[in-house]
Amino acid sequence: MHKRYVSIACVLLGFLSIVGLTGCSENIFKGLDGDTSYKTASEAMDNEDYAGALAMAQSTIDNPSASNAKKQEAYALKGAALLGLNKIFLINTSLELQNMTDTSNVVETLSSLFAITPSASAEIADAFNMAYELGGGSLTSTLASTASTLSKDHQLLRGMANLSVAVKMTSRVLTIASNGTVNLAGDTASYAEALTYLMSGNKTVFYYAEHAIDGFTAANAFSNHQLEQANKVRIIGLNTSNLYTAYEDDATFTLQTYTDGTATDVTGDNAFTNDPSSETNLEEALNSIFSYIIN
Amino acid sequence: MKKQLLYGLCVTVFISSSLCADTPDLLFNNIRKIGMGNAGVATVRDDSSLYINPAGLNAVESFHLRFPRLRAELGTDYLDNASEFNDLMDSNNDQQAILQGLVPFKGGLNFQISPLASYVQKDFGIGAFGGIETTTQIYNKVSPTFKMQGNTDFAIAAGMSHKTSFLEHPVILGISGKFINRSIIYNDITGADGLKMGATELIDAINDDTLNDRIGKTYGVSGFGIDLGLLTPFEFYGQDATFGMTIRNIAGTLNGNQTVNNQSRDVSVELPITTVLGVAMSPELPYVGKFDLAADYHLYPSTSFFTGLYMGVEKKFFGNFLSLRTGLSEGYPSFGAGVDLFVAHLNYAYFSKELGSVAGKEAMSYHMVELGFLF
Repeated sequence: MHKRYVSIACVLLGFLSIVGLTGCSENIFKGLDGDTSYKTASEAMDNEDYAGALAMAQSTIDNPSASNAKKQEAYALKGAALLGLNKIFLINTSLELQNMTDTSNVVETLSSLFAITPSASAEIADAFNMAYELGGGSLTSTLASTASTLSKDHQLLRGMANLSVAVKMTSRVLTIASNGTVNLAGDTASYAEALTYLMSGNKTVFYYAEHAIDGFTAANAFSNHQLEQANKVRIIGLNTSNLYTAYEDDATFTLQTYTDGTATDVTGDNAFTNDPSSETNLEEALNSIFSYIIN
Repeated sequence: MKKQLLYGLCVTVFISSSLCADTPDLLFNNIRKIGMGNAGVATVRDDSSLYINPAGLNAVESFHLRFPRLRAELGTDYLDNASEFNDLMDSNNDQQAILQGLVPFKGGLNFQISPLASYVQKDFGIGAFGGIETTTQIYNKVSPTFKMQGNTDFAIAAGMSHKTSFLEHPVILGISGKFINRSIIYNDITGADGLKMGATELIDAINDDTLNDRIGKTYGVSGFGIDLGLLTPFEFYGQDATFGMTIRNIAGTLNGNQTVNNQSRDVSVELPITTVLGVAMSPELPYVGKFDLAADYHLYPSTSFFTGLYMGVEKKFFGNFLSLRTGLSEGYPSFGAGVDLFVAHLNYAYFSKELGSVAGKEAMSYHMVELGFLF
C-alpha cells in the first residue's frame, strides 16, 4: 500500500513539475519554435505585438522600393499599432457615440475617452489618411471624396483616429462647460491664440473632423445616431474654420450647420452673427458654436 | 517484395504529410489520450482504435459492448465568460457594452457522445459517435474581430486488425472505414468555412440587430474515409516497447451543398490526411511500479516541429480503479484522472490547444469531463 502512495506522489510530482516549469497555459517550447508575437495588428494581443507590428510597418514605409500597395498596408498597420499602444479602442468610441444624447458635451466626453496628446493622435490619423490617399482617396472640404481601396475596417479606424485629433486639439485650448460656454484651457492666453492653434496650417481641426466623418461614412457601420453625434465635431470644425476666416478677413461670422452634406446658416433661436474683431466677440462666437452643438 | 512494401509505405507517409488542408479532422477524441498529452497512437486498445489506430483492435482481449458516454469539453475562458457571451448574442441587450467588456474572448466548446455505441472483440470492432465543437474568438480591442469555427460530426466506423510478420518481425496491421456526416459553420455570404467578421461587419450587425442571425449558419456534407494503422513491438533499453503509425482519412472526401447568397451550390470537403507516428512502453520502476509512457509525433497536420509533438504518462492504482495521467501536448501541460467504479466511469482532463502557427503563440485551455455507465 505504501508503494502505491509513493507512485501517486511521483505522478503528481511529475505533473506539478511540468506545471511549475511552465504555468498551466504556458508553453514549454515557447521561443524555441519561432517568433510568437503577432505582427498583423489585427490579431495583436498586447503591447509587444503592437510594437512589433509598428516596427514592421515603419520598415516598409522607410523602404523606397516598396510599392504603393505595400506602403498603404504599412501605413494602415502603423495607425492600428499606434492605436493599440495608446489604448484607443474602437468599441469604446462606438459605445460612447451610441450613448451620447443631443445635449451631450461631445468634445469633453470624447476628449476624456482618448487619453492621448493632440500630436500623438495626429500621427495616428496622418498614418490612416496617408493609407487612404495611397489607395486613391482624396477629400475636399464638402466631403466630396473619391473612393479609396482602404478596407472598411481601416476606414472605421481612420474615422476614429481623426475624430480623436479634432477633439484633442479643441480641448487643448478650450474647456467646454456643460451648457456650451467656452473657457480658455491650459496656458492658452487668448481666444485669438486658441483659434489660430486650431486653424493654422493645412491640417486644421476642420481637416481632421472632415476626415473623421468621411472614414465613418465609407465604413458604413455606425448607426444614424452614432453618425449624428460624430457629425457634431464636424459642425464645430466647420464653424471654427468660418470663424477663423472671418477673424482673419475682418468679415462677419455666421453660425452654420451641416445638413445632408450641405452647410447652411442656422436659423431661429440659435442663429448667430457677429464681427469677431475683438476677444469678447470671439468668445461670444465660440460660445454660440458650442452652445448650438450641446443644447 | 517486403522491402518494397516498406518503402511504399514510407512514401505514402511522406506524400500524405505534404498534403495540405484547412478542414478539421474528425472530432473524435479519447479522454485518456487527452490526459496523456494527446499521445496514444501506440497505446490505444479499445473501441477508440476505430478512430485513432485500427491496429489497436488486436490488443482487445475479449468482446466488449459499450453504450453512450457523455463528454463535455469547455474552454476555461468560456467558463469564465459564458453569461456575457450569451448576452452578446441577444439583441435585447446593450450588445456594444457587452462586447466592450468581453474582448478578448476565446471560447471553446465540445460535446460528444462517444461512443454512441460500440462493439469490439479481438481484431474487430464497429461503433458510432457524435459530437459538436465550436471555437469562438473575439480578439483585438483596437478593432474587434469575431471569428467562429465549428462543426458537428456523426460517424459510423468498422475496423479490423491482423497480426502478421515482416522480415521475421511481428507486425499488426489495421484498417477501418468510416461513414461521416458533418455539418459545418460557414459564412453564407462568402461560402467560406467558419465565420469571420471584422469590426465594421460586427458593429453593423449589432446596430442592425442581425448578429444572432449571422451566426450558426451550417451546411451539410457526408462521405467515407479510410484509416490505416500499424503496431509493432521493439525493445528499448531492455524494456518492451511498441511503435505505432496511423494514416487517417485516406480518400476522405465529403460531398454536399451549401447556400451562398441564396444560391445553392455543390461543395466538396477534403478531410486532412493525418499521419501520426507513436511509441509506447510500460516500464516498471522501483517504488513507482508499472506505468504507461507514450509519445506521438504528428507528421501532418502540424504547423511546426513542436506543435506536432505529444507525450504523456499514465499510472493506474488499485487495479483499474484510479488512473492518473499527465503529459505535454504541443508544449502545453495536460493532466487527467479517471475513476472506474465498475458501473460508472468518470474521467477528467485539463489540456490546452495551440491556436497559433508556432508553439506558445496562443493557447486555448479546456476542462474535459466524461461520464459513462454500465459498460
